[in-house]
Amino acid sequence: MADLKVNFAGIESPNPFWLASAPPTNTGEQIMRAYDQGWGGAVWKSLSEPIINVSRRLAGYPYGNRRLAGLSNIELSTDRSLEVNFKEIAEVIKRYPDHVTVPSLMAGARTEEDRIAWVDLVRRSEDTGATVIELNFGCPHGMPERGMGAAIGQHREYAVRCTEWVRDATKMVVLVKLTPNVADVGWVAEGVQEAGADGVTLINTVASIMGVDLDSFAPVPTVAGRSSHSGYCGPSVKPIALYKVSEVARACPDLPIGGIGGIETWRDAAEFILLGSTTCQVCTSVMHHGYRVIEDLCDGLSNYLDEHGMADIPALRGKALERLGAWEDLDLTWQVRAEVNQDTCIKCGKCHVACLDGGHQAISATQVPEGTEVEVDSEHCVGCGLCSLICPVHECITMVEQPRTEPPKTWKEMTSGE
Amino acid sequence: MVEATRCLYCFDAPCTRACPTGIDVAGFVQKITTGNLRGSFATLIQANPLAATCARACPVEELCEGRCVLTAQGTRPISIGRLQRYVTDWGQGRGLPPPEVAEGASADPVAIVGAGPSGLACAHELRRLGHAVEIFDDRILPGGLGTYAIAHYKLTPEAAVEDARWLLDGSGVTLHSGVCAGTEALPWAELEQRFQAIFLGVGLGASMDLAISGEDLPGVVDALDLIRASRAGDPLPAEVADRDVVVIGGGNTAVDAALLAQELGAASSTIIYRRTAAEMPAYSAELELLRKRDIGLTMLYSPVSIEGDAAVEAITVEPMALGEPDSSGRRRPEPTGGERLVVPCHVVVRALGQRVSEEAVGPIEDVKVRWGKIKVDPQTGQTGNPRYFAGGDCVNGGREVVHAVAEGKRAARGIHARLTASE
Repeated sequence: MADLKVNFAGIESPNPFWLASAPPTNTGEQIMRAYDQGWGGAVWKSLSEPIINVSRRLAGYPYGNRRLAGLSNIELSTDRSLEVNFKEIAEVIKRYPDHVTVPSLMAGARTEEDRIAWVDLVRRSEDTGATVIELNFGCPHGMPERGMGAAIGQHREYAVRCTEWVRDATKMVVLVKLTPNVADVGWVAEGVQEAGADGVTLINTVASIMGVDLDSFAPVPTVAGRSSHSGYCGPSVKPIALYKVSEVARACPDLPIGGIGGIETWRDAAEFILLGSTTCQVCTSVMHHGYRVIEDLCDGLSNYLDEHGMADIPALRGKALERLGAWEDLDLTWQVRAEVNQDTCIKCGKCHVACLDGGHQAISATQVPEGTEVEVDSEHCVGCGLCSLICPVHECITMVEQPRTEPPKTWKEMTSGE
Repeated sequence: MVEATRCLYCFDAPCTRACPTGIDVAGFVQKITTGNLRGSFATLIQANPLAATCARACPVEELCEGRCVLTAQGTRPISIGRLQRYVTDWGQGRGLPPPEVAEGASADPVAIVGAGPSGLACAHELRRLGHAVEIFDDRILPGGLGTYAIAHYKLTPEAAVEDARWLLDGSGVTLHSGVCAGTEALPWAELEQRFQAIFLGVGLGASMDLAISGEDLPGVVDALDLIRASRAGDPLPAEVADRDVVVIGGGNTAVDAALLAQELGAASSTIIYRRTAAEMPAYSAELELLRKRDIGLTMLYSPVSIEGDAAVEAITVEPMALGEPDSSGRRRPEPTGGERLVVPCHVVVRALGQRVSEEAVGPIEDVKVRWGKIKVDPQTGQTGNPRYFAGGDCVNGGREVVHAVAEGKRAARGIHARLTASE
């Protein structure tokens, strides 16, 4: 059995799976139940000066038979008093000393009052016995209007300033949660690392509008006939999150990263770890299925490590980064071609029309009694892979590597002084 | 994979509650969707060590699939049985072992009589709890009815034997084949001398009689003898090919026997049942099969006598009507006094259910048999004799493999409690 324990910026966690700061971490009662089911850590629902939440605050993005390909929210930070929250945090830390309970903090970036607010939140966090805090520089909705969340994360100088304020005020491990809604998240990460952050977590939600009600013309989620833009998360943001994590991993090779963004299964978690994450924070999957998803997250990841002969998570971490780089370093002479398995083909003709209209006109069609029989013309096929992606039959169309006719050559090699 | 992703991953899922062995169905299906087949396999066999056999033999439409919440939406339930079969084939094909058993073995070994599903499950559970186990079975191959008497279209004998061997080999259980307990070869007294606890998973031996005249004529056979002989490739108890066959009974075995007779080339194959289809214990899927195969079903007739000089020539039946419900909750058939029918036939197959063979377990002190079943404490499987436990068909009168597995496991825990309490 592989060892799932991780050390994240000096913090020991029984496994890499933490609940992200969100409704599943609203209360101590919830978090203790989650720990009982196997979660390694939990980042508390963000703590700030008291706010009031609107009633309808979530919208889903259904796709096919999936109810939640994505989820968006316009919920703000905790709407319970700070006293109650900090009291519960202390209780959880006392009862579950081997789990990682992380207060998430929010305040502004502009004035001396803002600095005092940060220091106050930090002191009260220390009083709970917490050893690690997360600074929320990411929420894209609501809070930025008050100068918090993404209003900080989207301005490097604000992010650096707040990190310095907190760094000067505490010896706790300081994690900074970053927003993806920036051009270069690696540059922001560098800034907060220099300012004293011990690690970063990303991504926070993506600024979004989930949809518009075609009868009322109001975007969703709709509150008394109006809406505002929301924070988007869940399985469909994973590709964005993976990219943002890789950007930070490449810009700051020695900065511990907590991956967040659409982690639903152990496979997703493995991908985040391969791109440089040490911990994996989860929210939407829990909101969809409950804390119980932790069982397969741990079991599946452990079995995966075993099957690859890896003893622990560090053996896996960052392995994909070695294979990620600039486009100009890709081999231009390497070729694949589509091959259709006629035995499993159900003759739907979808690959034909996809290639005809959206590809390179390389799949011909013949009408037969059962449907449409297809044939790949290797001369015209460029190996884009579209047909294999849209084919409804598992592994019916495969992209087959062709024998080399030329030695490997990259764009960089072709354009550098030859 | 596509099928698995249809699963809603219900909370406290009704499919799990419908499974006698409590398999976490939503959990194992969820693990298929994430590609954690190893974990999925572990989930299955932890709950049910004979998950491979049950994937084939279980009447899933009556159990897990029948409770799938998707049916409330008017869509097809998740094909749980097929997914379970996919995962167990994958796991056993990769040589993955049964759930881990204890390394050592206690001083008190346990004897198990019968290598059918209940005995195998009981043996494996006892090994997990640290007991040495020896199984005694009078047949050559392990697997019990799974090997010898379940219709081929559900479970082949090869698959049943393979599953039994996988479980036995993987849990360090000694199997003594061809040894019939309670005979001179292995008297009960000898077992009692060697073992502190004995589990009886002996199944049902004797078929119920019709108790009518002509029953001793050649051509009157028991359904299970017919099925068993056909599966083993032995000479059949009666020639069936090109002959008219009448099956008496309304259970799944009656259906299996009628289907088998047709497969064996019978000129005709007809079931005669004294109540109506609504009261038949046979599952609806089995009845559906009867309709598809065009097998005759004569309802509301009960046998009166079997006619013939040297062999069966016909069976006389009388019309019945349904009266008040009896102890089984089904309406009791009563003769109407109407005109009797004489149905010409060459073979009469008795499929009236079975009872524990009293010759076999009768001599054991305080092991009580009532209504053809061994009486046990339902929580522990313990019989009236504290040293003896029992489970499976001999206790429940003939239910599914999965019930036998559940009862075998339960009895193992009962045995463990007794042995550890006395230490």
